[in-house]
Amino acid sequence: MNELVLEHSPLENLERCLERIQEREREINAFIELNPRAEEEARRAERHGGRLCGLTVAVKSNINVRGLRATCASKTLENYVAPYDAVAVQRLRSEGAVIVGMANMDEFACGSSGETSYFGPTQNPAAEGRIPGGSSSGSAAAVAAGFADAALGSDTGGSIRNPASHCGVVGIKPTYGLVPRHGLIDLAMSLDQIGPIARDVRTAALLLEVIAGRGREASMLDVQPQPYTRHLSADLAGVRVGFAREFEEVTSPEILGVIKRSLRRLEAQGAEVVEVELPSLEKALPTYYLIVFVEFFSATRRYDGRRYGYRIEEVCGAEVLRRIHLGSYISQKEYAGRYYRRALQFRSLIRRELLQALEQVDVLAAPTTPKLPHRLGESLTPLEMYAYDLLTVPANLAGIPAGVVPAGRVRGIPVGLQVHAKPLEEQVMLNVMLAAEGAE
Amino acid sequence: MSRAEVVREAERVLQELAKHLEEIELEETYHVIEAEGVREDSAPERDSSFSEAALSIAPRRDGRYYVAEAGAWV
Repeated sequence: MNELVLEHSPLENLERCLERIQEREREINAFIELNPRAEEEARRAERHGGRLCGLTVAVKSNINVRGLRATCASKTLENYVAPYDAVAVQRLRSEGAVIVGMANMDEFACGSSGETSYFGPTQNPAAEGRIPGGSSSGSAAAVAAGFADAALGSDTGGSIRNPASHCGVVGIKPTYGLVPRHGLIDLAMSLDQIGPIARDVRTAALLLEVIAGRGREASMLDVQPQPYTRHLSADLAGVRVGFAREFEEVTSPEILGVIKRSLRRLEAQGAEVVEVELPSLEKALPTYYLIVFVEFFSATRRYDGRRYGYRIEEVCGAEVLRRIHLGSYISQKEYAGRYYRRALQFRSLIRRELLQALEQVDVLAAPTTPKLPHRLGESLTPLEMYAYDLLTVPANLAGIPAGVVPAGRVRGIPVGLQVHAKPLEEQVMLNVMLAAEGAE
Repeated sequence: MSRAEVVREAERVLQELAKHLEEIELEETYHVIEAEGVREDSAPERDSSFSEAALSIAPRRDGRYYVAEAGAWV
């Protein structure tokens, strides 16, 4: 079956979501704006149907949805109304999805906690008082709180997978270029990718099926849309799952315990777990950030106060300002090749290592974050904050797909298992995620 | 946090990140691309029909000059 069957009609489903929003949104702060035309869209879905008929979707505020504000959670773009739908949004609408609203996020996707939004931090519905993770904080929180059935997020260094893990939901970063980025306001265009967040693997797979692949629009990869849901299977006979010992060295023991239990669950379903090596793992974080600073600086030069809102440096928060300053500094000093050029060299090395590891196995399993989410408002240094991304940035540097599925809890806080696959092998990644699902 | 503090902290962050990438030397591969058929920078060929073609589609022109609307969008 490769279409969604909801228990209720599109209109009833929307009303249920809106009731939950009414009850808890003041506390969670998952949305920047609700869609005033959602009811009209639900009625249209009732008439026309589609594979996602009536599915309610929250969209991260850096993805254009015509008529709604694409603020990137920044004062810079607080009044910017999107003039068109991003390709991923067009595809969701054409299959009957109902856009509930624009989800909160870290300002310009600069953050891993959901705390840097100009519109205030988002709470974690699955772990009270903790951060929801970021930067797709509102997208993951909206799904976890039942405000929407699914969400779109963007992932540059873990921004879908990190909040999915902290909020106990499923999140997928597809192969770089598989989902058209047209309509995504970029953080770092060589790393950014749009992907789905949902409560279960099947719904996430269906969303991916709808938004991925070549269409009428210009696309980066010439790949036909794949029927992932038709081939979903939790039978892992013959599937080799790799696990790197370097993951153990950087992950807290309590998270590692949950991940090891997940691996045993995969073994029980027929998988063979083998050890692989990723000797340059610790270089991934500095490599990623040096590239992001430069690309982000370049991307923000359009916010000079003339065409789009305010001049960014005059109104942005500390993390955005820090990245702009660093990108500017590195760009000026780059004649010596000390930063950006070295980072590009390490990027090639990390990609090669990951692909070599994936030659020995079908998928690579890993923790999603090395530590549990901190308490909202707790003060962290920038480097402590960046450390959340240590295990998610390698997939972006290599351009490979990676997904997160809930694996268990530590003191009531959700922990997600991360599954990487070779480029364009989303199907085997989804099958392993399906087999791991339900561990909670 | 003041702007000056953000900038000071940013520089510390950069040094901390960059030092991790200094430890080992990496090999670089250079690719030499065949230059056959590529025009020499020092000897551009003038296309005499270009200016006429550009002027023929100009929204506004003044004789042989294209009139731009400088500043209208500021």
